Amino acid sequence: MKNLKLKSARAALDLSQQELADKVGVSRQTINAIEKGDYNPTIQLCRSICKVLGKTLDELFWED
Amino acid sequence: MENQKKKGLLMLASVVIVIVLYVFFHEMGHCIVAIACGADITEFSILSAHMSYVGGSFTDTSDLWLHANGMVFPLILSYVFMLCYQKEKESTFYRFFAYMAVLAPTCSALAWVVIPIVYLQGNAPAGDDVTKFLQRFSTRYHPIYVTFGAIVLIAVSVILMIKKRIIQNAVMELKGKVKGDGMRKKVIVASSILVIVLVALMCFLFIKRNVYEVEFEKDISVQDSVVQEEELEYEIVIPRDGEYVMYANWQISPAGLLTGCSIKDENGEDVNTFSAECIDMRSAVMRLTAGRYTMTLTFISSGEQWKEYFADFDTTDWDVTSGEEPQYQFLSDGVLHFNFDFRLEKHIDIWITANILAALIGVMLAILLIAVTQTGDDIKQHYDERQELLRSRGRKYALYTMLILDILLFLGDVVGIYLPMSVGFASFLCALVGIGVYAVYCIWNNVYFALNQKAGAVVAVLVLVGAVNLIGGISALVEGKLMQNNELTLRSLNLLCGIMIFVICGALILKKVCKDREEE
Repeated sequence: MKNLKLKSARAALDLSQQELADKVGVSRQTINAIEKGDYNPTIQLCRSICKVLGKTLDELFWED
Repeated sequence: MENQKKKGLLMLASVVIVIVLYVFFHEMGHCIVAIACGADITEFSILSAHMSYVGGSFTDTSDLWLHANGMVFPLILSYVFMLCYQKEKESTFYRFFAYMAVLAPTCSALAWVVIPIVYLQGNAPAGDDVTKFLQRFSTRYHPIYVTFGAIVLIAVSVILMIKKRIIQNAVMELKGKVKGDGMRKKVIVASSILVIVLVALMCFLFIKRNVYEVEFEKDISVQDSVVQEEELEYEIVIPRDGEYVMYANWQISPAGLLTGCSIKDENGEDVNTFSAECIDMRSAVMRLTAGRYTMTLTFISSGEQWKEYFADFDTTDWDVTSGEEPQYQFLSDGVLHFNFDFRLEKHIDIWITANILAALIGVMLAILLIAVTQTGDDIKQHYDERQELLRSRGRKYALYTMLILDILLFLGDVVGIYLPMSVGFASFLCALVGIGVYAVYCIWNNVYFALNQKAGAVVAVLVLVGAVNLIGGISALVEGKLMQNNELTLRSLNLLCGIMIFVICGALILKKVCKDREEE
């Protein structure tokens, strides 16, 4: 399932996938895979992404 | 920085101490057996790594032990040391010293793995402990058992090293150094220098060591079965005692004359004498003392002359001639064209050295290429969690591929399907396909390149390595050297490696073309 919350949070900060990936310390393809729902990140990576985007885990990774 | 220097010095000190201790215990190992057999030790030197003894009564077994104990005794001591090793002790010197003290005897056992294989090929280094051991051992058992025994000893050593955390502790101490500033640049500089030095050494190894060379062409006329040509004499000066190899190549056209080649020392003693119409030979290794030698070429135009020529030699033991004149049609009249090429070279057994050097050059080049294709200071490749996950999945698929291929090869062998390759070649081919599967899987899932790797540089290196392999493979194909005795030769591996690398490059291009453009 696509993670549109993450995509919109990233877009809100005007960050490209590559920029977010660099800040988090992963590859662009990994961010792309998370947004597309092809990869389930570990809790550490979720926390890193949340910190960079200024969101909570619930806001980005909890299903409504 | 100070800390790094201190660590470097401690490492150097531990290496020096371990070398001295290893030589001491190695020679001590020989001495223990010699003394146990009632011999008196006459010489014991650590500097020249040598011991000698007189007397003693040795049985077959004790003689074997005498040669083996130089390796076994330090290795057993290292086992004892490992069992007493305190892994919690946080002394840098202790950790480096322990690592080196265990590594030295373990590495020395490697010679006992390799030399029996070399011995089977007839290239074992003369005078070595392993060779001396094998000369006696092989009269009863197959030399390969020594290889297996040594592998077991090394395996025990490695397991103990890991269990007792000797390797891990040493690496932990080193890690501070590895992560130091500009480490990648240092690695590039150091490995480049080492590659240049090793290549220079390799070139030096293959430089011809001609002591003497003579080459000429001339016409020789025969009239009424008599050669109208005097004997030709050449003086050869051997500068120092040693082992030499002689290369002789001559042809005569048309056929009808034998050429006798005789080499004698200053006292007129025969060193080597032979005759042939045409020859292209490399002699066995000859031990020559320094001095002047004379090489004489004699043209023999009849059976009588031939018998006369060899009259001074006791030919009864000669398998080929048996002292009888050759069944050969001599030319009674005519002019013959004679080509002569003769070389005397210093003999150096380069087989092992060249292979070790080649392996070292390969390792250094690999380190250099890894360092060159990365960014930042760190030489370690970094992957994120998704990359690690998919790469491990790729390794699993590669392993399955290799297993399936191995099983298919085995079944093919059982059923009797002939494959034009040796077992070793087939295993390498399976590994090559496995590597290919791993690489293509990683490329397709975007996990081929590490986070700190320059993709362009990696591709450039791949193309370069692939091209070198393909050129080698294609030249073997053109020369018709891909197959020998209905089996693929080692040179065909170049072609296969080249093809595999270009398949990987093809996968990279294809992935680039189909690149997911979902972003933005």
